[in-house]
Amino acid sequence: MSEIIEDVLRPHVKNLEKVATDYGLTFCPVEFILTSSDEMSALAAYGGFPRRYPHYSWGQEYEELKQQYSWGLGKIYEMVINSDPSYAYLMKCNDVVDQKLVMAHVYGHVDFFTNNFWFSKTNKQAVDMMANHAIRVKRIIDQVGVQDVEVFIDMAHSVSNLIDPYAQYNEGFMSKLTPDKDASNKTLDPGAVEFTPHRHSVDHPDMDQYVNPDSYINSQRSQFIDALRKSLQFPEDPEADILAFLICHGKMPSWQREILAIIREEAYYYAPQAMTKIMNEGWASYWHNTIMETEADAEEVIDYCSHNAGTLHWRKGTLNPYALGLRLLRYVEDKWNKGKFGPEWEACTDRAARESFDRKLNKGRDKLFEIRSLYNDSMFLHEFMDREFVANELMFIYSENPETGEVVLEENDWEVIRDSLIQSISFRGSPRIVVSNGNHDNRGELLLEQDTNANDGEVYFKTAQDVLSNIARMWGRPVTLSTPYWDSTVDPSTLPNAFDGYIARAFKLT
Amino acid sequence: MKRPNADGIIKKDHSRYRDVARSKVRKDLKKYLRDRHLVSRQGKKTIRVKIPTIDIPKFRFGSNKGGGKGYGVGHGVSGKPGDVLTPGKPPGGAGQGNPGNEHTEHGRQEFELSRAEIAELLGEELSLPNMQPKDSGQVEVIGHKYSGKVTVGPDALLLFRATYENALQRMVAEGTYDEEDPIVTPIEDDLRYRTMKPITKPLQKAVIFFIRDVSASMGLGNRAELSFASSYWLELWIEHCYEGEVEKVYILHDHEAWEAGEEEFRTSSTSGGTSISNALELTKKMIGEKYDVNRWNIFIFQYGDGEGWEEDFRSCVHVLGSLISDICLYGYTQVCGTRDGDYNNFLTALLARNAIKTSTLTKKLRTVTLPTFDEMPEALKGILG
Repeated sequence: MSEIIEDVLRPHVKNLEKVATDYGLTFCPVEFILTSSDEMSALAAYGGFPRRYPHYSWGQEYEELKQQYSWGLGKIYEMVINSDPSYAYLMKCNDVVDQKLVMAHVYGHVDFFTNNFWFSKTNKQAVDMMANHAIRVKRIIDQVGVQDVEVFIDMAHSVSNLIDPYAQYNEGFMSKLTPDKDASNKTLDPGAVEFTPHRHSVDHPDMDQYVNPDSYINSQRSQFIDALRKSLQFPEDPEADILAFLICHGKMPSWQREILAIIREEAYYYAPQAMTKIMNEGWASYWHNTIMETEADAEEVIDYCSHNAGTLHWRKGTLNPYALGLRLLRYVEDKWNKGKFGPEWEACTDRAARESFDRKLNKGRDKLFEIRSLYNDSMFLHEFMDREFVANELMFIYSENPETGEVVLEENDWEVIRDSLIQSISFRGSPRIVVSNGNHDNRGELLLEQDTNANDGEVYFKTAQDVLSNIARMWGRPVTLSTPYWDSTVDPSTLPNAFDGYIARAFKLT
Repeated sequence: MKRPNADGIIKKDHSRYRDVARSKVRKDLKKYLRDRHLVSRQGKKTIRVKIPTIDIPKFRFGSNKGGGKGYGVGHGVSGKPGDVLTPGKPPGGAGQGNPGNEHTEHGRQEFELSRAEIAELLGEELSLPNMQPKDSGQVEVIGHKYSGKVTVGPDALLLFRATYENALQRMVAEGTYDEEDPIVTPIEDDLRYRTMKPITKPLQKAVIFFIRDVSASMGLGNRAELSFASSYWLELWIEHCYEGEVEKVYILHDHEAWEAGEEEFRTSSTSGGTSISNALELTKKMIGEKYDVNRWNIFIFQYGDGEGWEEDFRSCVHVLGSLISDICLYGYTQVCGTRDGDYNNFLTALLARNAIKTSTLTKKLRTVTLPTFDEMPEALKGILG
C-alpha cells in the first residue's frame, strides 16, 4: 500500500482481520494493494494477475474495461487472487466505507479459498506460476515469432475448456501428461493381419461344410474383428481431459505442446472458481454483511446500505448468481438454526406447523461452515435448493421469443428449475466432450464423443466446426465429433469440412 | 509484492491488440468510407468505428436452427406456465435486427483511432501519393537542443572530453606531453562548452478552400451530406500530409458567393440560381489578399451538381487558368451523375482537348462524380490519387 490512504486504511485492516478471525474465518495472509482505475482495468484484463503471457486478447479485454469505466458502466469493486499470501486489490478512489466493505468481502473469499475442498489442489503460488508462463511464452516468441504464437494461442483458447475439472482430485492426476509412446502409434497395416479361424478336423473334405459351417467361421471372424478393434483403440476409457490427450499424442512441434500445457495448467487453476462461483460469492457477501453490521460507523451506515444493496440487487425477472448464493446460505442457516431437518421435520406436514417449526438448535452457522468446506455449486444447489426455497423466491423458468421479444413463463416446477440451473452451471454450462478413440477406423483419426449423461443438450455446430478444425490441426489428422444431436434440417455435405487438408466433421454415430 | 504495474505491462498487449484491430479497420475501410452515418458522428480529434469483435469459437449449446430461444431462470414473479411476462412486439416491426445481416452473428466493438491513424490507413488502402509540399524557403524553430560547441560558457556546460582532447593535442604538438607522467592540463584556449542550437524544420503551410453550391437543386437527395463527407476525408488526408497545420476556408455560393463557417458548409441550402465562377473569383480574391502563393500550399475542393450555363463555365476556366500555377490541386466533385452540358463534362472535355498542351493543368485539375455514398472511395481516389 502506498500514500496517505494507506495510513487511513491500516487500522481498519487490522480491525477487520481480527473481527473476521473472531467469527471463525481462517485464512492465509492477505495483502491489500491500492490501485488506480487504469491499473485495475489492466489487472482485471489479466484475470487478476500482474503478469500474464503476451497475447493481444488481454489488450482487447483492457480496452473494453477501460471504455466501460469511462462511460460509467462498469466499476470493478474488488479483485482477489487465490494464492498464498492472497493479494486483494482496492480501488484508490473508493470511500473508506467502500474499502471496509470490500475488505470484509475479501476475507470471506480468502477463507473460502483456504478451506474449501475444491480449492485444495490449486497452485497457491499462482502469481509466480503466471509470471513463469509469461517468461516461457516470451522465449517461444523469440524463437518462432509472434505471429505464429499468437495464432496458436487463439487456437488453444478455443479448446481451453476441454479439461476434466473433477480429475484433479484423483490420485495420479499429475502423471497424466507423460506421453505413452506405444499408444500413439497403434495404426495397423491391414495387410499384416491374417485371420485364421479354428476348424474342427474332418475325415472327409465333404464333411467340412457340416462340421465347420459358415456361421461358425463368421462368428469367429466377428469376434476376431472386435478384439482387433479393441486392441487398436486408445484410450481404454473415454478421456475428458482432451488437452492432456492432445499434449501427449497430438502431432505438434514441441513449442505448441508447451503452450498447450501452459494453457491447460491455467485452466485447471481457474476451474474451481467456476465450480464454486455461486457459493464463493454468496459466502463472501454473507460475511461482509455480517461484519459490516457491527463494524460500519454510524455515519457510514447509509452509504454502506446503498452500496451493498447495489451489488446484491436481485432484479425482478433475472438471476443474480451472487444474490442467489447469499439467499440460499441464509435460507440454510435459518433452517439449521430452527432445526428444520431430520425425521421430525420430514414428518411435519401441516403448513402452519412447518412455518412456526423451531427446535432452537442454533446450528445454522456451523452448517454454513461445513458447506463452505465441502460443497461446490452443483452439490450446494442440488441439496439445498428445495421446494420451499423456490416457492419463497418465486423462481421460474422463462423463454424469450427472439423475433418478438415476448417473454413467457415456461415452468415453475421446483425440481425442473433446480435441475435446469444445475445444468446451466455444471461444466461451465458447456457440452461435455470426451475422447472416445485416438485411432478411429484404424486411421489414426481422432473420434470425440458428446457425453450426454453429464450435460445434455444440442451442440451448436457453427462454432463446433471451428473448434474441430483447431483440434484437427493440433492432432495432425482428421477429427470427428459424434453427437446424438444431428439436426435433420442441416445437410452435412453443405457444412465446410476441409481445413488445410484436415477434416473436421460431426455426425450422429449409429 | 511490489506495486503491480500491470498497466505498464499490458501496454504491449494493448498495442498488439490495436494492431490487430487496425488491420480489421483497414480491411473494411472502403465500407466505412461508404457509410453515410460515419462522418456525422465523429469528434474533432478521433474517429470511432465499429469493428467485429474477435470471437474465440468454443463448444457450446445452442439450437442449430439458427438463433435459438433465450432461456433462463428468473425470480420474483408468481405465475403459471404460459403466462406472458413481457409482451412482445409484432415480428418484423421497427427496430428488429435483420436476420440476414452478417453482423448479427458476431458482436461489434467500438474502436477509436486518431485522425493520423485513419489517414495512414486511407493512404495505404487507396494508395494515395503524398502531397509534394511547396518549399516556402522558410524554417520554423520547433525546439532547442544542446548540440553545439563554443569556446566560452558557464562551467556547468563544460565539455570534458572535447576539452581534454584539445589539451592533449596541443601538448603533444608542443612536446610537453610526458608519457611516463600523462597529466594533461588544459589552458583557457582548450576549453569547450556546450551550447544550444535551434532545431528547425521547413515551414509547410496549407490552406484548403472548400467551395459548395447551395442553390435549390443542391437540396435534392443527400447532396449536401455527400459534399460534407467527402470534404471530411479530403481534409483528413491533407492534414496528414502537412502534419496538422492546415487552414480551412469555406465558401458557399448560389448566384453570389460568400465565406461561411464549417457548420453552414455542412447544412446550409438556399434557393436561387447558380454561378460557379463567382465562387472561384472570391477564392482568387482571398488568395490574393491573405495567402502568399510562395509560402502556402493551396487546395481548392469544389462541390456542386454541375448545373450552370456554358458562359459561366468559360469564366470558371478563365479564373482557374490564372490560378492553376499558384495552387497545388483543384478538385471538383459532382455530387450527382453526369449529364450533357454540365460542369463536369465541360471540364473533362477541356482537359481532354488540352491534355498535351498543358500537362500541369491536367495534373492539378481533377474531376469526379459522387452520385451516392457507394462511390466515395473512388471519388476520393480520383481527386487525391
